Amino acid sequence: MAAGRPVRSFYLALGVIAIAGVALIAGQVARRPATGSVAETLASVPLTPVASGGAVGHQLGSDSAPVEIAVFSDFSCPHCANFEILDFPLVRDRLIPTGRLRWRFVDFPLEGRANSPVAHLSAACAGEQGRFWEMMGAILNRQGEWVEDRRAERRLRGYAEGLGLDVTRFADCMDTGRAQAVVDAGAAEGRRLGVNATPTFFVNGRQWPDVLGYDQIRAIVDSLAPVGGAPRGAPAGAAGPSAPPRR
Amino acid sequence: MRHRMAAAMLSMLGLLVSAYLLLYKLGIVGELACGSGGSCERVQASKWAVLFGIPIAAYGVGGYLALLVVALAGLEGRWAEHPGPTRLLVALSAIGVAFAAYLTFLEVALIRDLCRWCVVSAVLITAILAVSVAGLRSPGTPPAT
Repeated sequence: MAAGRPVRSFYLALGVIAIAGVALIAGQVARRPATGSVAETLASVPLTPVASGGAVGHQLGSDSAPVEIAVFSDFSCPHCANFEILDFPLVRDRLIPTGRLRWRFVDFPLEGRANSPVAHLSAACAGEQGRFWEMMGAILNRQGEWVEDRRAERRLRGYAEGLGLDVTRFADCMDTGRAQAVVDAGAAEGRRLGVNATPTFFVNGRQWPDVLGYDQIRAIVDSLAPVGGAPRGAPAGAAGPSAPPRR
Repeated sequence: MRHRMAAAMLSMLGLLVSAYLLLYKLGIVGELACGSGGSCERVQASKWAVLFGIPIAAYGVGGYLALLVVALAGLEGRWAEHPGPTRLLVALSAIGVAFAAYLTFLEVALIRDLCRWCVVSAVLITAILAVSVAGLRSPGTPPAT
Protein backbone atom coordinates (compact mmCIF):
# COMPACT_ATOMS: atom_id res chain seq x y z
CA MET A 1 0.00 0.00 0.00
CA ALA A 2 1.33 3.41 -0.92
CA ALA A 3 1.12 4.97 2.50
CA GLY A 4 4.36 6.89 2.12
CA ARG A 5 2.68 9.92 0.59
CA PRO A 6 0.03 10.24 3.34
CA VAL A 7 2.77 10.06 5.96
CA ARG A 8 4.81 12.71 4.18
CA SER A 9 1.70 14.86 3.87
CA PHE A 10 1.05 14.37 7.56
CA TYR A 11 4.54 15.52 8.53
CA LEU A 12 4.20 18.45 6.17
CA ALA A 13 0.88 19.47 7.74
CA LEU A 14 2.30 19.02 11.24
CA GLY A 15 5.24 21.22 10.33
CA VAL A 16 2.98 23.89 8.90
CA ILE A 17 0.88 23.90 12.08
CA ALA A 18 4.01 24.15 14.23
CA ILE A 19 5.48 27.00 12.21
CA ALA A 20 2.18 28.89 12.05
CA GLY A 21 1.66 28.46 15.78
CA VAL A 22 5.15 29.63 16.66
CA ALA A 23 4.72 32.62 14.33
CA LEU A 24 1.44 33.59 16.00
CA ILE A 25 2.94 33.32 19.47
CA ALA A 26 6.00 35.30 18.37
CA GLY A 27 3.66 37.99 17.10
CA GLN A 28 2.02 38.14 20.52
CA VAL A 29 5.38 38.34 22.25
CA ALA A 30 6.41 41.21 20.00
CA ARG A 31 3.25 43.14 20.77
CA ARG A 32 3.95 45.22 23.84
CA PRO A 33 1.24 46.88 25.92
CA ALA A 34 0.51 50.48 25.01
CA THR A 35 2.04 51.94 28.12
CA GLY A 36 1.71 55.44 26.73
CA SER A 37 -1.98 55.25 27.56
CA VAL A 38 -1.11 55.08 31.23
CA ALA A 39 0.26 58.60 31.19
CA GLU A 40 -2.71 59.82 29.17
CA THR A 41 -5.18 58.29 31.60
CA LEU A 42 -3.37 59.71 34.58
CA ALA A 43 -3.24 63.13 33.02
CA SER A 44 -6.99 63.04 32.50
CA VAL A 45 -7.87 62.75 36.17
CA PRO A 46 -7.24 65.30 38.92
CA LEU A 47 -4.46 64.90 41.43
CA THR A 48 -5.98 64.11 44.82
CA PRO A 49 -3.16 62.76 46.90
CA VAL A 50 -4.01 60.06 49.36
CA ALA A 51 -2.61 60.74 52.79
CA SER A 52 0.58 58.76 53.08
CA GLY A 53 3.51 58.51 55.42
CA GLY A 54 1.73 55.78 57.33
CA ALA A 55 -1.12 58.13 58.20
CA VAL A 56 -3.77 56.09 56.47
CA GLY A 57 -4.12 52.42 55.72
CA HIS A 58 -1.57 49.67 55.63
CA GLN A 59 1.57 49.87 53.53
CA LEU A 60 3.49 47.15 51.76
CA GLY A 61 6.68 47.96 49.92
CA SER A 62 9.48 50.45 49.95
CA ASP A 63 8.99 54.06 51.07
CA SER A 64 11.16 55.07 48.14
CA ALA A 65 9.15 53.21 45.50
CA PRO A 66 8.33 55.61 42.63
CA VAL A 67 4.81 54.28 42.20
CA GLU A 68 2.22 54.08 44.94
CA ILE A 69 -1.12 52.41 44.41
CA ALA A 70 -3.72 52.82 47.12
CA VAL A 71 -6.83 50.69 47.09
CA PHE A 72 -9.93 51.58 49.04
CA SER A 73 -11.56 48.29 49.82
CA ASP A 74 -14.52 46.84 51.69
CA PHE A 75 -14.10 43.34 53.04
CA SER A 76 -17.70 42.46 52.13
CA CYS A 77 -17.27 43.53 48.52
CA PRO A 78 -17.06 40.54 46.16
CA HIS A 79 -14.88 42.39 43.67
CA CYS A 80 -12.45 43.20 46.45
CA ALA A 81 -12.28 39.49 47.30
CA ASN A 82 -11.84 38.71 43.63
CA PHE A 83 -8.90 41.07 43.43
CA GLU A 84 -7.35 39.61 46.57
CA ILE A 85 -7.64 36.07 45.27
CA LEU A 86 -6.76 36.59 41.63
CA ASP A 87 -4.55 39.63 41.33
CA PHE A 88 -2.99 40.64 44.60
CA PRO A 89 -0.76 37.55 44.97
CA LEU A 90 0.98 38.47 41.71
CA VAL A 91 1.26 42.13 42.67
CA ARG A 92 2.74 41.16 46.04
CA ASP A 93 5.13 38.55 44.68
CA ARG A 94 6.21 40.10 41.38
CA LEU A 95 5.93 43.87 41.55
CA ILE A 96 6.33 45.01 45.14
CA PRO A 97 9.65 43.18 45.66
CA THR A 98 11.13 45.06 42.71
CA GLY A 99 11.07 48.26 44.77
CA ARG A 100 9.14 50.04 42.02
CA LEU A 101 5.72 49.75 43.64
CA ARG A 102 4.43 50.60 47.08
CA TRP A 103 1.01 49.20 47.91
CA ARG A 104 -1.42 50.79 50.33
CA PHE A 105 -4.60 49.17 51.54
CA VAL A 106 -7.16 51.58 52.93
CA ASP A 107 -10.19 50.41 54.90
CA PHE A 108 -13.42 51.64 53.38
CA PRO A 109 -16.31 49.67 54.87
CA LEU A 110 -19.41 50.44 52.87
CA GLU A 111 -22.63 51.38 54.58
CA GLY A 112 -25.30 48.72 54.74
CA ARG A 113 -22.86 45.82 54.96
CA ALA A 114 -23.69 44.37 58.36
CA ASN A 115 -20.47 42.47 58.96
CA SER A 116 -18.01 44.79 57.27
CA PRO A 117 -17.23 46.90 60.37
CA VAL A 118 -16.26 43.93 62.52
CA ALA A 119 -14.22 42.43 59.69
CA HIS A 120 -12.25 45.63 59.24
CA LEU A 121 -11.76 45.95 62.99
CA SER A 122 -10.46 42.39 63.18
CA ALA A 123 -7.92 43.11 60.44
CA ALA A 124 -6.84 46.27 62.25
CA CYS A 125 -6.44 44.25 65.43
CA ALA A 126 -4.29 41.75 63.56
CA GLY A 127 -2.32 44.75 62.32
CA GLU A 128 -1.51 45.58 65.94
CA GLN A 129 0.46 42.36 65.95
CA GLY A 130 2.02 43.04 62.57
CA ARG A 131 -0.21 40.49 60.82
CA PHE A 132 -2.63 42.70 58.91
CA TRP A 133 -1.89 41.25 55.46
CA GLU A 134 -2.32 37.66 56.56
CA MET A 135 -5.60 38.50 58.26
CA MET A 136 -6.77 40.44 55.23
CA GLY A 137 -6.02 37.42 53.06
CA ALA A 138 -7.96 35.11 55.38
CA ILE A 139 -10.92 37.49 55.52
CA LEU A 140 -11.17 37.99 51.78
CA ASN A 141 -10.37 34.44 50.75
CA ARG A 142 -13.09 33.16 53.10
CA GLN A 143 -15.53 35.98 52.51
CA GLY A 144 -18.36 33.58 51.76
CA GLU A 145 -18.13 32.11 55.26
CA TRP A 146 -18.63 35.21 57.36
CA VAL A 147 -20.16 37.90 55.18
CA GLU A 148 -23.73 36.93 56.01
CA ASP A 149 -23.06 34.92 59.12
CA ARG A 150 -24.81 36.06 62.28
CA ARG A 151 -21.77 34.96 64.24
CA ALA A 152 -19.24 36.56 61.94
CA GLU A 153 -17.10 37.83 64.81
CA ARG A 154 -16.68 34.31 66.10
CA ARG A 155 -15.46 33.20 62.69
CA LEU A 156 -13.08 36.15 62.44
CA ARG A 157 -11.64 35.33 65.84
CA GLY A 158 -11.15 31.81 64.53
CA TYR A 159 -9.16 33.13 61.60
CA ALA A 160 -6.95 35.09 63.99
CA GLU A 161 -6.38 31.98 66.06
CA GLY A 162 -5.64 30.00 62.92
CA LEU A 163 -2.99 32.53 61.95
CA GLY A 164 -1.32 32.05 65.30
CA LEU A 165 -2.03 35.50 66.67
CA ASP A 166 -1.91 36.23 70.38
CA VAL A 167 -5.60 35.53 70.88
CA THR A 168 -5.83 37.23 74.26
CA ARG A 169 -4.41 40.44 72.88
CA PHE A 170 -6.55 40.11 69.77
CA ALA A 171 -9.72 39.56 71.81
CA ASP A 172 -8.90 42.55 73.99
CA CYS A 173 -8.46 44.68 70.89
CA MET A 174 -11.77 43.50 69.49
CA ASP A 175 -13.58 44.01 72.78
CA THR A 176 -12.24 47.49 73.40
CA GLY A 177 -12.30 48.56 69.74
CA ARG A 178 -9.01 50.35 70.23
CA ALA A 179 -7.93 49.73 66.62
CA GLN A 180 -11.12 51.26 65.28
CA ALA A 181 -9.33 54.55 64.72
CA VAL A 182 -7.32 52.95 61.90
CA VAL A 183 -10.49 51.91 60.11
CA ASP A 184 -12.19 55.24 60.72
CA ALA A 185 -9.20 57.14 59.35
CA GLY A 186 -9.35 55.17 56.11
CA ALA A 187 -13.08 55.68 55.74
CA ALA A 188 -12.73 59.39 56.40
CA GLU A 189 -9.95 59.67 53.84
CA GLY A 190 -12.09 57.85 51.30
CA ARG A 191 -15.01 60.19 51.87
CA ARG A 192 -12.69 63.17 51.53
CA LEU A 193 -11.53 61.86 48.18
CA GLY A 194 -15.06 61.14 46.99
CA VAL A 195 -14.76 57.37 47.02
CA ASN A 196 -18.22 55.84 46.73
CA ALA A 197 -17.53 52.30 45.54
CA THR A 198 -15.02 49.56 46.10
CA PRO A 199 -12.46 48.71 45.06
CA THR A 200 -11.28 52.18 44.10
CA PHE A 201 -7.65 52.61 43.10
CA PHE A 202 -5.42 55.67 43.31
CA VAL A 203 -2.13 55.70 41.48
CA ASN A 204 0.31 58.25 42.77
CA GLY A 205 -2.60 60.25 44.05
CA ARG A 206 -4.84 60.10 41.02
CA GLN A 207 -7.99 58.07 40.96
CA TRP A 208 -7.91 55.45 38.25
CA PRO A 209 -11.24 55.33 36.44
CA ASP A 210 -11.54 51.56 36.46
CA VAL A 211 -10.91 48.53 38.57
CA LEU A 212 -7.35 47.34 38.17
CA GLY A 213 -6.09 43.86 37.51
CA TYR A 214 -2.54 42.57 37.64
CA ASP A 215 -1.85 43.17 33.96
CA GLN A 216 -2.91 46.78 34.18
CA ILE A 217 -0.97 47.33 37.37
CA ARG A 218 2.12 45.88 35.76
CA ALA A 219 1.63 48.14 32.74
CA ILE A 220 1.31 51.15 35.04
CA VAL A 221 4.46 50.28 36.95
CA ASP A 222 6.35 49.58 33.73
CA SER A 223 5.19 52.89 32.34
CA LEU A 224 5.86 55.07 35.37
CA ALA A 225 8.95 53.28 36.62
CA PRO A 226 10.50 51.28 33.80
CA VAL A 227 13.29 48.94 34.74
CA GLY A 228 16.62 50.68 34.21
CA GLY A 229 15.04 53.82 32.80
CA ALA A 230 13.54 57.13 33.75
CA PRO A 231 9.82 57.27 34.37
CA ARG A 232 7.77 58.36 31.42
CA GLY A 233 6.19 61.78 31.51
CA ALA A 234 3.15 61.31 33.64
CA PRO A 235 1.87 63.69 36.25
CA ALA A 236 3.01 62.97 39.76
CA GLY A 237 0.64 60.35 41.05
CA ALA A 238 -1.65 58.20 38.95
CA ALA A 239 -3.14 54.80 38.31
CA GLY A 240 -3.58 52.17 35.58
CA PRO A 241 -6.38 50.85 33.37
CA SER A 242 -9.43 48.71 34.29
CA ALA A 243 -13.20 48.62 34.79
CA PRO A 244 -15.29 51.00 36.86
CA PRO A 245 -15.33 50.48 40.57
CA ARG A 246 -18.09 48.14 41.55
CA ARG A 247 -19.74 47.51 44.85
CA MET B 1 -2.30 4.57 12.18
CA ARG B 2 -4.53 7.48 11.34
CA HIS B 3 -5.49 7.82 14.98
CA ARG B 4 -1.85 8.36 15.88
CA MET B 5 -1.54 11.03 13.22
CA ALA B 6 -4.68 12.68 14.57
CA ALA B 7 -3.34 12.43 18.10
CA ALA B 8 -0.06 13.99 16.98
CA MET B 9 -1.86 16.87 15.27
CA LEU B 10 -4.04 17.51 18.30
CA SER B 11 -1.02 17.24 20.60
CA MET B 12 0.84 19.80 18.51
CA LEU B 13 -2.10 22.20 18.85
CA GLY B 14 -2.27 21.55 22.58
CA LEU B 15 1.46 22.12 22.89
CA LEU B 16 1.14 25.49 21.16
CA VAL B 17 -1.78 26.54 23.38
CA SER B 18 0.04 25.49 26.54
CA ALA B 19 3.25 27.18 25.43
CA TYR B 20 1.30 30.37 24.79
CA LEU B 21 -0.23 30.29 28.28
CA LEU B 22 3.14 29.45 29.83
CA LEU B 23 4.82 32.38 28.10
CA TYR B 24 2.08 34.61 29.45
CA LYS B 25 2.52 33.21 32.93
CA LEU B 26 6.26 33.85 32.71
CA GLY B 27 5.59 37.43 31.68
CA ILE B 28 6.96 37.02 28.16
CA VAL B 29 3.60 37.49 26.45
CA GLY B 30 2.12 40.79 27.59
CA GLU B 31 -1.57 40.20 27.00
CA LEU B 32 -3.56 37.15 26.09
CA ALA B 33 -5.68 37.18 22.95
CA CYS B 34 -8.78 36.14 24.82
CA GLY B 35 -11.53 38.54 23.87
CA SER B 36 -12.82 41.19 26.23
CA GLY B 37 -13.39 40.77 29.93
CA GLY B 38 -9.96 39.57 30.98
CA SER B 39 -11.24 36.11 31.87
CA CYS B 40 -8.05 34.40 30.71
CA GLU B 41 -5.92 36.82 32.71
CA ARG B 42 -8.02 36.34 35.81
CA VAL B 43 -7.74 32.58 35.61
CA GLN B 44 -4.03 32.70 34.82
CA ALA B 45 -3.43 35.16 37.65
CA SER B 46 -5.24 33.04 40.21
CA LYS B 47 -3.41 31.03 42.82
CA TRP B 48 -4.71 27.88 41.17
CA ALA B 49 -2.65 28.62 38.07
CA VAL B 50 0.40 27.31 39.92
CA LEU B 51 0.80 23.79 41.33
CA PHE B 52 3.79 22.85 43.50
CA GLY B 53 5.46 26.07 42.44
CA ILE B 54 5.18 25.25 38.75
CA PRO B 55 2.70 27.01 36.44
CA ILE B 56 -0.16 24.75 35.35
CA ALA B 57 0.65 25.64 31.76
CA ALA B 58 4.07 24.02 32.19
CA TYR B 59 2.37 20.74 33.02
CA GLY B 60 0.39 21.22 29.83
CA VAL B 61 3.54 21.75 27.80
CA GLY B 62 5.11 18.64 29.29
CA GLY B 63 2.00 16.55 28.83
CA TYR B 64 1.34 17.53 25.24
CA LEU B 65 5.02 17.12 24.39
CA ALA B 66 4.93 13.59 25.78
CA LEU B 67 1.78 12.82 23.80
CA LEU B 68 3.35 14.21 20.64
CA VAL B 69 6.50 12.15 21.07
CA VAL B 70 4.52 8.97 21.72
CA ALA B 71 2.21 9.60 18.76
CA LEU B 72 5.12 10.28 16.40
CA ALA B 73 7.11 7.33 17.69
CA GLY B 74 4.05 5.20 17.04
CA LEU B 75 4.33 6.01 13.36
CA GLU B 76 7.89 4.84 13.00
CA GLY B 77 9.58 1.51 12.52
CA ARG B 78 8.55 -1.44 14.58
CA TRP B 79 6.36 0.72 16.81
CA ALA B 80 4.01 1.34 13.90
CA GLU B 81 2.51 -2.11 14.30
CA HIS B 82 2.84 -2.29 18.06
CA PRO B 83 -0.24 -1.51 20.18
CA GLY B 84 1.95 -0.06 22.95
CA PRO B 85 2.01 3.55 21.72
CA THR B 86 -1.77 3.64 21.41
CA ARG B 87 -2.20 2.25 24.89
CA LEU B 88 0.24 4.80 26.20
CA LEU B 89 -1.65 7.56 24.38
CA VAL B 90 -4.87 6.40 26.04
CA ALA B 91 -3.26 6.32 29.48
CA LEU B 92 -1.58 9.73 29.16
CA SER B 93 -4.60 11.44 27.65
CA ALA B 94 -6.89 9.92 30.29
CA ILE B 95 -4.71 11.52 32.96
CA GLY B 96 -4.85 14.73 30.96
CA VAL B 97 -8.63 14.64 30.74
CA ALA B 98 -8.93 14.08 34.49
CA PHE B 99 -6.57 17.00 35.14
CA ALA B 100 -8.46 19.19 32.67
CA ALA B 101 -11.75 18.31 34.37
CA TYR B 102 -10.29 19.33 37.73
CA LEU B 103 -9.02 22.62 36.29
CA THR B 104 -12.37 23.33 34.65
CA PHE B 105 -14.07 22.67 37.98
CA LEU B 106 -11.76 25.22 39.60
CA GLU B 107 -12.60 27.77 36.94
CA VAL B 108 -16.34 27.29 37.22
CA ALA B 109 -16.73 26.74 40.95
CA LEU B 110 -13.98 28.79 42.56
CA ILE B 111 -12.58 31.32 40.12
CA ARG B 112 -15.97 31.77 38.46
CA ASP B 113 -14.43 32.68 35.16
CA LEU B 114 -13.59 30.58 32.13
CA CYS B 115 -10.32 30.97 30.30
CA ARG B 116 -11.04 30.29 26.64
CA TRP B 117 -7.61 28.89 25.95
CA CYS B 118 -8.01 26.53 28.88
CA VAL B 119 -11.31 25.36 27.40
CA VAL B 120 -9.59 24.84 24.05
CA SER B 121 -6.95 22.75 25.80
CA ALA B 122 -9.61 20.71 27.59
CA VAL B 123 -11.34 20.02 24.29
CA LEU B 124 -8.05 19.02 22.66
CA ILE B 125 -7.06 16.57 25.37
CA THR B 126 -10.54 15.05 25.29
CA ALA B 127 -10.28 14.68 21.52
CA ILE B 128 -6.87 13.01 21.90
CA LEU B 129 -8.38 10.53 24.34
CA ALA B 130 -11.26 9.88 21.94
CA VAL B 131 -9.07 9.19 18.90
CA SER B 132 -6.70 7.08 21.00
CA VAL B 133 -9.53 4.94 22.31
CA ALA B 134 -10.80 4.62 18.75
CA GLY B 135 -7.30 3.52 17.75
CA LEU B 136 -7.37 0.76 20.37
CA ARG B 137 -10.51 -0.62 18.82
CA SER B 138 -9.31 -0.43 15.22
CA PRO B 139 -5.56 -0.97 15.01
CA GLY B 140 -5.50 0.11 11.37
CA THR B 141 -2.67 -0.46 8.97
CA PRO B 142 0.91 0.57 9.46
CA PRO B 143 2.25 3.22 7.13
CA ALA B 144 4.70 2.17 4.44
CA THR B 145 8.12 3.63 4.81
